[in-house]
Amino acid sequence: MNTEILIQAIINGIMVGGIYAMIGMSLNMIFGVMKIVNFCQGELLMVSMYITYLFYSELGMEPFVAIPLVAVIMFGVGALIQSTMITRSIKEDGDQNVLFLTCCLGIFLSNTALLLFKSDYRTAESVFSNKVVSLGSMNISVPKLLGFVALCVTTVLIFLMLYYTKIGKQIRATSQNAIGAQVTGIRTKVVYACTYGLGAAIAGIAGACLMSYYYVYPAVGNIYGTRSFIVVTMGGLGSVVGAFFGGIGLGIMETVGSVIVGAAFKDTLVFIVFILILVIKENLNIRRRKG
Amino acid sequence: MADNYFQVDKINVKYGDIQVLWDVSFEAAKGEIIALVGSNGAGKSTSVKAASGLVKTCGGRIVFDGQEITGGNCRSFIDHGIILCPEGRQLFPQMTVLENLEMGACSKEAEAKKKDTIEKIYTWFPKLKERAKQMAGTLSGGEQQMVAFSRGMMGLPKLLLMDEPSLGLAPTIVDDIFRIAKRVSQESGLTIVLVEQDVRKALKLANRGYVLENGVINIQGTAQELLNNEEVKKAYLGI
Ligand SMILES: Nc1ncnc2c1ncn2[C@@H]1O[C@H](COP(=O)(O)OP(=O)(O)O)[C@@H](O)[C@H]1O
Ligand SMILES: [Mg+2]
Repeated sequence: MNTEILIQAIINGIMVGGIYAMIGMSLNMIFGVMKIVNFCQGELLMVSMYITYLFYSELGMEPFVAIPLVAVIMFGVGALIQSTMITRSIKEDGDQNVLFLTCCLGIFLSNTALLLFKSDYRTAESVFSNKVVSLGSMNISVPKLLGFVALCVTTVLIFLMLYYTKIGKQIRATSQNAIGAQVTGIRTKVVYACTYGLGAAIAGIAGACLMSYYYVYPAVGNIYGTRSFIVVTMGGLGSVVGAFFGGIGLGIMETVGSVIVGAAFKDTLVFIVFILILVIKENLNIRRRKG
Repeated sequence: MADNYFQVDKINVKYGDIQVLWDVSFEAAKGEIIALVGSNGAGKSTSVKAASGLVKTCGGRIVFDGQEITGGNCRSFIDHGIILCPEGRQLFPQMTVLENLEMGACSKEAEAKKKDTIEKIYTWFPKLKERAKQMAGTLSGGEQQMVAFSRGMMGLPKLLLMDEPSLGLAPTIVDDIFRIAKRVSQESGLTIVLVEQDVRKALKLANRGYVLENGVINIQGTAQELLNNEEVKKAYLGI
């Protein structure tokens, strides 16, 4: 294997990883604030891909142009899911309810998609689809590059929001101490609805980007849902920055892995590494607790 | 005696099926400082949580400044001017001292007067000015308690409920905070409900006190009456 192929693989990995990073970030945002693991994050991505697809097929809208629209719609969907269902399922008697709820919601969403769109693969043509920029001997797919740019912009915007806006500060405060938030008059219900909405909106941005070079089908959320858990395990549950690097790490692992072991085994490789990380992390934790 | 400025009237509180408060009543006049004392698990925290809207009551009334406010949530109590400094301080550890203070300015009025209030707080606790840019989680326990008290004051409360501010702190720091609380109360008519396990400590600050035992108030009276009460002496003062 020569270095050129390796570098190309790494570049591709970073681009692919952008989507993983976004979906991991959205998962971590929700976990960080609400302490719930959202099992339907992949399905939210699927829904936003279909929304992007509909904008394209009905209105001829370019997927990248649809990003802000999809993000806003998904924010609304997320806020609605949180304030009508999830908030009711969180009771003092444990978290299993939320777990079941988000799981079932995922199944419900993918089956609704199956009912509405059948199991066909659908694509949305972007003006950038199949375009490539060349850097010396390296080729970068333009839609993937734009997706990566969208990830960077999203990440920066999230940070600006969290540190400089009122609702952002309230979200941080609530994630750090929910009782402290209540006694300082923060409407935690609003904060939770916004947080879940933001998580869904980030998934929406990822979905719109993904739609420009990938296809949507009702079970597409599975792939990304599973990946998002790998991302947050690598980057740390609850850490937005961790998810950024975890996502890109996973992307590189996949593309470099498929160069080394072949595309057919790349998933196997990813999961082996995932299990290794879990085992090693756990061992480190045990050692730290002892030491 | 109290003129019913703040009146908690026969409230009951349950956590799930387990009832922890039975017909608990206490009241405070404007500018008065009262103490709720009792041993661990007696229901002191639950009482002030109920009195600040953090937990729901079942039965009973809470009246403040002539208005019945029973059944509201924490935010609506804050809008009436009732603020809780909760047990264990509950600061935002990854925010700076200044940010923690700013988070306390909840109402429009408090927001508008934020700068002045912070200046005033810095004169009470010069230490906090030095530490303004430091993360609250890295402060000592005493400094954290100063932040907790100050964060509460940032909301411009008319009634401040303080849940065990002395927990785990050196007596001199507790004296500092109590002294400032007393001064604010005298100067601006702030009403204070203080929760303490230590009866003697509590009655240094409070004019009157209520003794909670197993979710029921059995003994109440002025500081002097409580200090002379045989039962209190035996159970809480170790005499
Ligand atoms: N969130 C809760 N759920 C169930 N029981 C609780 C909860 N909080 C407190 N209790 C119980 O209520 C009783 C009173 O607790 P608390 O008000 O914290 O007492 P204190 O502040 O006087 O130590 C205790 O028996 C405690 O175990
Ligand atoms: Mg207590």
